[in-house]
Order: sequence, then C-alpha cells, then structure tokens
Amino acid sequence: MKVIHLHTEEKELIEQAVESNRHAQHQIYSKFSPKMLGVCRQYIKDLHLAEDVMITAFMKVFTSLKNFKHEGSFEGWIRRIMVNECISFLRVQKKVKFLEDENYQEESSNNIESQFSVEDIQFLIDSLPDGYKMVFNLYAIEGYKHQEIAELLGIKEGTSKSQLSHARKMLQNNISKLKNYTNGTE
Amino acid sequence: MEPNKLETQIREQLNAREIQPSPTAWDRLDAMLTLTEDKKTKRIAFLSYKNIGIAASVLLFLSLGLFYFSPKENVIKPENNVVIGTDNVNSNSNSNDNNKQSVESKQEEQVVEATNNKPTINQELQPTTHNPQPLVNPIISQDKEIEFQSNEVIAQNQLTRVASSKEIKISNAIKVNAADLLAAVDTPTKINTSPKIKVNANSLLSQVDGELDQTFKEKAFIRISKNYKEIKVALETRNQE
Repeated sequence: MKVIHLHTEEKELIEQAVESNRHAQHQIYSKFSPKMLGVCRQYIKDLHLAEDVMITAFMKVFTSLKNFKHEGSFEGWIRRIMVNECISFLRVQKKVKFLEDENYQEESSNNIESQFSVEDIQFLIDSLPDGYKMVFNLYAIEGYKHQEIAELLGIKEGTSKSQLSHARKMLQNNISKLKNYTNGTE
Repeated sequence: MEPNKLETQIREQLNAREIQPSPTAWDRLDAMLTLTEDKKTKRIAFLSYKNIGIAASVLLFLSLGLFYFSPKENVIKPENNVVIGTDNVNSNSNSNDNNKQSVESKQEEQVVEATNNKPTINQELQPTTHNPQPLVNPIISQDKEIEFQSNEVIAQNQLTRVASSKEIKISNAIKVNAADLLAAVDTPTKINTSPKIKVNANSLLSQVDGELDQTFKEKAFIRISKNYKEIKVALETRNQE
C-alpha cells in the first residue's frame, strides 16, 4: 500500500511539475539531484562542469516532462536524460574521437574481488580516456548493449566492443597499480 | 565479455553514491526555468495579439464586402417601377390582340432600355433560360429575350415558338395564317433588336460601377490604413511594456 501511495504521490508531483509548478519542480530536483550529480560525475571529472551538465539535463527533464508516459521508472527516465547530456557534452566540448580498432583481444573475465571505496572507483574511472570511459560507463554501469552504445555514440558496434576491451585492460592495470600503492603504503 | 564481479561491485557502489549539488545550483536552474517560461508566455501573448489582428482584418473585409454589395440592390429596385410605369406607348398596336400584348410589352422594354439603367439588363438576361409555356403570362419575358438576343437565329426560333402556341389558342375563334402572324411579330422585333441600346447600357453600367468602385475603394483604404495604424500603435505599446 505504501508503494502505491508513493507512486501516486510521484505521479501527482510530475503532473504539477508539468504545469510549471515551481514547488513541485523543486521537490523533484531535491529528490533526484544528488544521485544524478553522481551519474554526471561518472562521466565528467570536473565536479563544477558535472553540475553544469546536470542543470542543463534537469532543464530538459522539466521541458520534456509532458512526454513522460509513466511506463518505466521516473528515476530511470531522468537518468537516461543525464547520461545522454553527459555524452553530448563530452562529444561536443571535448571532441572525443573513437579510434576504430578491430584488433583487440577479448580478455578472460577476471574476478578480482577487492573492496574499493567509491572514491577509489571514481579515481580509476577518471583515469580512463573519455572514449573508454563512456563505453565502460554505458556498458558496465548503465547496462547498455553494444548495439545501443554504437547508436548512441554514432560508432560501429565493433568499435564499442574494442573500446570496452581496452577500457577493461586499462582499468585492471590501474587497479593493480592502486593495489600495489595501497599495499606499499600500509 | 560479461560484466565481471569487479564491475558489478563498481556499479553497485556508484549507483549508491550521492553527491550533494551546490546550493546555487537550484537557483541557476530556477532562473533558467523562469526564462523559458517567460518566453513561452510572451509567445502566447504575441499570438493572441496576432489573433486579434487577424480577427480585426477579417471583420474589416467582411464589412467592406457588405458595403460594396449593398448599393447594387438599391439600383435594381427603381427599375421595376420604370417597367410598370411605361404603359403609355401603345400606338403601334397591331390588329391581333395577342400581338398587341406582345408589342405593348416590347414597347415597355424599349422604354426601359431608353432609361438605360444597368439592372434592366440583369432582369432581361434572367429569362434566357427557355420558358416552355410562353402564352400564359410571360409574353413579356419572352419578348425581352428576343430583344436582347443579338443573334437573330435565336430570335427567330423564339418567334416561331410564340407563333405556334398562339395558333393553338387562336385557331378556334379566329382563323389566322401562321405566316401572317409571323409577319406581324417579325416587324416589331426587328425594330427592337438595335445593338446601339445594348452598347449604351454596358457603357453606363461600367461607368456606374467605376464610380462606385472609386468611392468604396477610397473609403476602404482609409479604413484599412486607420486600422493598421491602430494595430501598429497597440503592438508598439505592448513591446515597450
């Protein structure tokens, strides 16, 4: 019953926000902005820039709110807008180019189990080049398929796969470096 | 290529992460939202002004149309009076009664033509849709037809039709030859089919039309310019606001 209540509450809030009710818009913003800034931060290293992108994405959320069909989760819908905005920011502002590289080796899935803090994880992702980072984030974090990533970034499916492979390899190297570093200091 | 355990761990941790945005972030978003809303409302206001303008111009043209067409009706009315009043020219009557009637009506027509008013033509053009019963009453209309057909062949056809119907009626009482009747009807029609009158009527028509056009065009232009200025001033004041 509580879930239904929450759902109707969210629906009402959305309907009010569609009517440009600033209070409702602020409530939506307050509810989702911390998580969405986290999403933007995944893609954009500079927190201020990440916040700028988040604000632009929220603008898009509110202007296209009337198109939200209440079919999927509202958070998922907002998250998609955020991800798209981050990608267009990286592509336009930073002019990320994807090298077409079909000669890559699919590495055996490694199952390194080690506890990392969120800061460590963010540090590892930040160390990736923007192209690798985008594909890795989309595939590993957002759960997109290679075909979807290829469409979103305007690249070939093979390029998406090769980028992911390179990203994983680089990530593993960085993890081992980080491990050595932390072990050495301890 | 399946996401490995490390990646699942990364995903879970990143999804759980929250970064509080700076307090000014909402203010910026708020400002952006108000800016777009203002634009929208301005656009709506402009649209309404536009709509008012369209409505005004439509009304203007409607009123123009009404003014333009109403005087024509007034000109037509006096014609009927002229036709009724011109019964005095009966001197050229023939021996046959029916023929007399027809001639009389033709005389009337002549008088009408002599007045040279434009609606006479309108009246006379209407009966050209052939009347199948010419003798009951509409001799006048038939004769009118004849008068205004510049083509003599058509006129002759009409005459023969008139003549034949007359024969049917008259044959019981008085025996008259069809040829005589034809001859009797022929003479007045020839007098009537003078192209000069038609030309006069047309020129007068165009003249009157021109005069009407001029006065109404002048009025219309004055009104249009006046309304345009009003709308312009309204728009300017709104923009200044």
